[in-house]
Amino acid sequence: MLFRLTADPFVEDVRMSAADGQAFELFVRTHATMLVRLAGALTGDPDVSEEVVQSALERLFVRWRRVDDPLAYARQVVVNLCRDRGRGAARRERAGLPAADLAAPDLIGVHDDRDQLVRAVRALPYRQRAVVVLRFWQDLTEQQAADALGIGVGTVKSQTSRALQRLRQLLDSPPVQAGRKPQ
Amino acid sequence: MTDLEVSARRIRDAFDHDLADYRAPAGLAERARLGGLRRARSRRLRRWACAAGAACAAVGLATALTIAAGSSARPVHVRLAAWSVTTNPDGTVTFKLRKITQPARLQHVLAEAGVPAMVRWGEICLAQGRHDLLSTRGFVKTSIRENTFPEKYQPESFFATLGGQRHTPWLDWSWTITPGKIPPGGRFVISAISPDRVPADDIQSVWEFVHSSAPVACARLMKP
Repeated sequence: MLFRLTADPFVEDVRMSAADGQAFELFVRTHATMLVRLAGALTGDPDVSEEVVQSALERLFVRWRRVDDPLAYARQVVVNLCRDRGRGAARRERAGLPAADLAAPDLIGVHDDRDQLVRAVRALPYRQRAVVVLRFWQDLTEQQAADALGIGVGTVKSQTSRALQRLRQLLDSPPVQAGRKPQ
Repeated sequence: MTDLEVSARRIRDAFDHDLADYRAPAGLAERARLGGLRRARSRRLRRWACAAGAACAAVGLATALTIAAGSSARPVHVRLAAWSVTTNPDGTVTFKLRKITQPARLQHVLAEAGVPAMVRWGEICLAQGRHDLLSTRGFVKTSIRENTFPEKYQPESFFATLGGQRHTPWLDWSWTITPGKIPPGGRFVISAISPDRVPADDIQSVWEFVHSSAPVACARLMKP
């Protein structure tokens, strides 16, 4: 029996030219640590962060030729995978198994304001947490954050507002004043 | 300075401090590359499993033609220009393949050397599920010229490659196999198509180690 298998764009993508291979290597060298830190900001777990980023880079690798903006794509995959990890942790928790440390912040014994703030951010619902991390730590525009999360700009704005409000509640501090460091 | 700017600065400072020790591990690019290839191959296998579904009728015949090896193994020294099978003094078998000619003879010689195999030329044969692929760790050492096969072999599961190599049209594979360590019930599935019959960037040759009972589908390709 004969059948025709025409050129497969997926296979073409995998068969990188030497230049593509070098570009991918360069991309990893340039952005991998930032992506690991992004995953770390979202999960708080170094091991999970590395796994997530490797998985994201694998996906990027096979789509390298088709992706217009590799960094935006990798960032989006990292954000999605971290969300999925969080859901898995929640499921494990419901099943009575140990869950990742994504629950309410334990602010006892924190070393300083920075630790307290990081723990509070990680205690936010995932979308709010991701918005805060992408907008404030990654310094992305609202549009970029919306693209990474697959939501609208309006949702980014509303989630940002809610996140900041929730952070203030968690940190039990008065609203920050313009130009003044909060107490 | 706005409320938002203050928040941004505090959050940035806090996370910069918290994440300072997070770094990309060494070798990440290479692992991502290999992992990506695994993903791609898995997807290709699924496509082949569907595309070659109609060829499954050939499975029974292909299975029947496979010659069981093992107890009947004996020293073999066959050297052709296209391939060679040689039993070494330590009992291992060195199998070199440049081109699959006389596939039935090759299959027979391998079986005599204690290497159960199904060999096909002119069509690509694949196990119908990734779960059917077995590890070759511990009894296969391979030498695959890197520039010939962009898809590196994966010792945990199987060997495979993509075809359509315009500059290196023939295979250049070499394996050293320890027949005594081959798990019972396993066999190699080796298939290839002449490069001039293969569309660029399509599968040209495949090497797998699978359960003998695993369904294997074979299909021919036509150059568009």
